[in-house]
Amino acid sequence: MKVVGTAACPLGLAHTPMAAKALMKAGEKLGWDVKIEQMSATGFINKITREEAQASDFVLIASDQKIEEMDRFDGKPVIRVDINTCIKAPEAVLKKCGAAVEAKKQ
Amino acid sequence: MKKFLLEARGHLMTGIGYMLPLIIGSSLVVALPQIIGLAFGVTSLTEDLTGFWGFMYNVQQVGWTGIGLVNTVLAAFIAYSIADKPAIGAGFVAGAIATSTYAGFLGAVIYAFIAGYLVKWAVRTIKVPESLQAIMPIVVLPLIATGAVALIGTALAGPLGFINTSIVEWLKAMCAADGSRVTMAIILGAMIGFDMGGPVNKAAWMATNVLLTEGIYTPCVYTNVAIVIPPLGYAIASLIRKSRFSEEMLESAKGNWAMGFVGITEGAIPFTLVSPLRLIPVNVIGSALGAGVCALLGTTASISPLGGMYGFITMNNPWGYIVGFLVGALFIGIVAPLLVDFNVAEDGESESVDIDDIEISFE
Repeated sequence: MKVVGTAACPLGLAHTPMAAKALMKAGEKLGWDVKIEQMSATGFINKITREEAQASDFVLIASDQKIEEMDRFDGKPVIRVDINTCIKAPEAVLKKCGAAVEAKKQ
Repeated sequence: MKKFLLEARGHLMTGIGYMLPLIIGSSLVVALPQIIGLAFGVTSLTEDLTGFWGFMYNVQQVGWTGIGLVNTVLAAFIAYSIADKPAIGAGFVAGAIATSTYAGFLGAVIYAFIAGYLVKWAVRTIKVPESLQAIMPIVVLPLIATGAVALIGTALAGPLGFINTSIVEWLKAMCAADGSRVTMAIILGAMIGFDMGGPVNKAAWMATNVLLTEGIYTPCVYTNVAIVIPPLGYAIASLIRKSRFSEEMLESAKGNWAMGFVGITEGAIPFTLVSPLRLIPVNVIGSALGAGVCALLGTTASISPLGGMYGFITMNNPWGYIVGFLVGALFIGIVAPLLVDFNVAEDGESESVDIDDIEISFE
């Protein structure tokens, strides 16, 4: 699975990097290609390009915030998950989203 | 309905996220001349001062202007969060009339949500021929949004102004009385310690931040003091009971000094996850205790208070603030390592989350 996504919390200070790192680490474990950008207080860190987004299987938004430049993800399944859940159980989140995307395809 | 409420919370948080830099910057511009003045024995900056202190007075007035814009910016970015560019102008208007009609934050939030969702609805439902497509974002949508704000803002100015003024008076009275102030501090402190950046924490945080728009500054002192406590508590724990922490945990505890210093409760998450059932009560008691002590010692604020350990510079009776977070953090620092051994290897995946309970939603 190739996954891209965004992590964002109100201040972009604490939850954001925690969630992004947790998800990427969990991705490595699963052997998936996972890249999560951080919408921090001063802009994007590790930003997802349009090309990367379009080459992915799905987009994971770890936030309830407004995400800038959503048009990058046009045409891709976009899934929102609570950021706290992504920090607590990143592997389970990825698996569940992956399964949901597969199920939707059929 | 649940989905709508979650979404609405996200929009409110986005608005607050944009409002905070404004309120922090403006508050500091108010606070710094005050502090400089006090350092030189000038106790109050007033209009009739001349020379350097007159200049300082004017600088401070700029800060107040910024604080006066708080409702406006909050409403604008709530509307923007819901419906992007076409709604943002109406959001600015919504916040400004909420301020001028005394409907306050209540009005700002309500009008902004109405403007935002109306634009969102209009984008979906109103279909115009392709040749007229261009008039939608530049004429129709802004007119709908601003028009709705104008009508509703005018109609509700009376009742909302009354409700808002009553709430504000009630909260101000609560902040003024010693007993109710301590109760309030304990409740806010407990909420902050409960889930470290989760919904309960953010509810307390959001409420006290929104009150800043009404010039009610004291409750924010108690959330600020409580926010420092959990991360600082685990930093202290790692210092006094090194043997109870693994190498990895000691390493992340170093970061907690910084998290405590600037006030990021989330710093306590990696530690709490080792044994949430035992540590959440410890965090709750520590935060509530610290906030309670801070209130008991009579710490209040007459300007918007800063967070973090250095927040005391913006408060009345700053010692109470410092004693408050030290007492709370020492409680966590001493009790947490007694109850839990932080040597246990973290497996990265918490057992407490069931894959079936994870909620995901497609956009």
